[in-house]
Amino acid sequence: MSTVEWRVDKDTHIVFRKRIFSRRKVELNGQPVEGEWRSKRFAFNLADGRPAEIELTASTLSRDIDLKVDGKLIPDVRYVPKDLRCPACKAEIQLLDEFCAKCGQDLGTPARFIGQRSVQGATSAIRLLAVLFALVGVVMFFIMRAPTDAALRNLAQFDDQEVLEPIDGKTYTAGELRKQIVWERNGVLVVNLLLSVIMLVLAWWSRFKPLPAILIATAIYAVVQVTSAIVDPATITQGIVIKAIVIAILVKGIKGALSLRTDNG
Amino acid sequence: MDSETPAPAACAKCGAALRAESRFCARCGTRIPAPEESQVAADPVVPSDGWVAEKAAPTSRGDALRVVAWLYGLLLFTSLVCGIAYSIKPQGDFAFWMTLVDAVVIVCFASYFRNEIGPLLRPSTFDGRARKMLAIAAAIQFVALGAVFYLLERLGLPFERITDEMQRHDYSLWQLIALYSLAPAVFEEIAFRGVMFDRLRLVLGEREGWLVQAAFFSVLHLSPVIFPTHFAMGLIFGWLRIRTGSLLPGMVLHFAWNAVNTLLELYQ
Repeated sequence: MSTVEWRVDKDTHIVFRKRIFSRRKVELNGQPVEGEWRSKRFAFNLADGRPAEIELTASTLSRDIDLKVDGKLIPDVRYVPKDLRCPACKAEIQLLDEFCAKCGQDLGTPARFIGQRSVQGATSAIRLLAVLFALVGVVMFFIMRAPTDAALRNLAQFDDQEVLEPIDGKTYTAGELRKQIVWERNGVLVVNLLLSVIMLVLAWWSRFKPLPAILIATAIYAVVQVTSAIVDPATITQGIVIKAIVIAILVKGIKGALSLRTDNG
Repeated sequence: MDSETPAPAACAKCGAALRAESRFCARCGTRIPAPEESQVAADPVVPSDGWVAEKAAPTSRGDALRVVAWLYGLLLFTSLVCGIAYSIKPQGDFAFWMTLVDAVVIVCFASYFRNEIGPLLRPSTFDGRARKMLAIAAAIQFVALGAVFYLLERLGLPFERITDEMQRHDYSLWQLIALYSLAPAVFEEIAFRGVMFDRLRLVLGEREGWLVQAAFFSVLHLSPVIFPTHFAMGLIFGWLRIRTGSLLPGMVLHFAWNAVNTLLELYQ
């Protein structure tokens, strides 16, 4: 069942409910609103006569349920802080205020809080990336154990200082090559765990400062894809749809976080 | 208007109902004449962190981020192309071409923002105070980060050897210094502490801009193992830029760090 609530002002409370195998229902101040859905839109009037409309729209990975009053997009209660205050003078404001009644600060439209939806999506994506990095690191570590052990057995016959044939234009001693091989196995685990920790820290930081956190997470994700592509160019096309979706969610999160920024930063 | 006159119930401009004791209309922002003659400042509000700058409109914040995205994206793209070319042909001289292309990209961006970048490069900005800040930063970087890198090497972390390039391409010492010490110092400072930091500061404020440019600097080196150390370096170079208002101290420190590491590699 999906339920979405909007508090347009202290006298107007709208609820949308959709249970499985039942019709969509809209309630205004606890009373059901009669009307017809047309092309996923439901138009009705508020108690004071203002026109309102609920619309179902598809987004990147889910469906958005949007309310408009007088043509203005109204964010639902999940995205609106309980204590709304002017960012400049801290006076109490209401959701529909576009200017602070005390200091005149430009607040923007109520839709500015919709950005929080994209921010939450991006934060979830960052947490998911953290889990994926950790999983990949652990799995790859165990996969690489056998070939690493085989390579080390082949090198066992050489002393550490013995110089080997150049590999890709680089000359190694046996000792250096052993270290390199061991590092390639352990490094996969270390690097992925490090990336996982960084992503977890960024996901935590995005609760307070979403814009810088999502910017850095996007930059790291892009670099990881580029590094994989350099090591093995075939990975450019592997999972390209998933990569595009992740980038789209992160970029949307950046736009959402940008819309939440005030002039005071 | 005398003190007996009540405040209006509706905005004269848009007709919206006004709340009691409102000084501005909450719908259109029009100032409401008060019964008493007190003046309310309707000028741009000074941000609480005290950094007073021009009020950044939402459009210019988006534009600033777009500039950062383009610069970062182009530098990442050249790394991708050169990295793939290098993996196909290890003997190719791609490091030189990558440095050249990056330099051209960064100079183009710097030229576009020359009114902001130019003053940061004036020799007069490298004054006594800047030199003092440089000395402090150099002490921190060489001692603290030097210790960290030494520890990482002892733990067996493999680092890319600059001297391997000497072997592959028969570079002289001066070519190595120019390509791996001087060029990165100059162009990376212009890119990260110049163009990117100025744009990020506009959007995020000084502290967060400082953190994000350091993060971008560290990740663009493409090696997750050195993300933390290069993040710290980015913070130090960024601190120098903020405290001195100049890119020159950061360039000097960056060059010194790269050159010392190159020479240590050669003579170990």
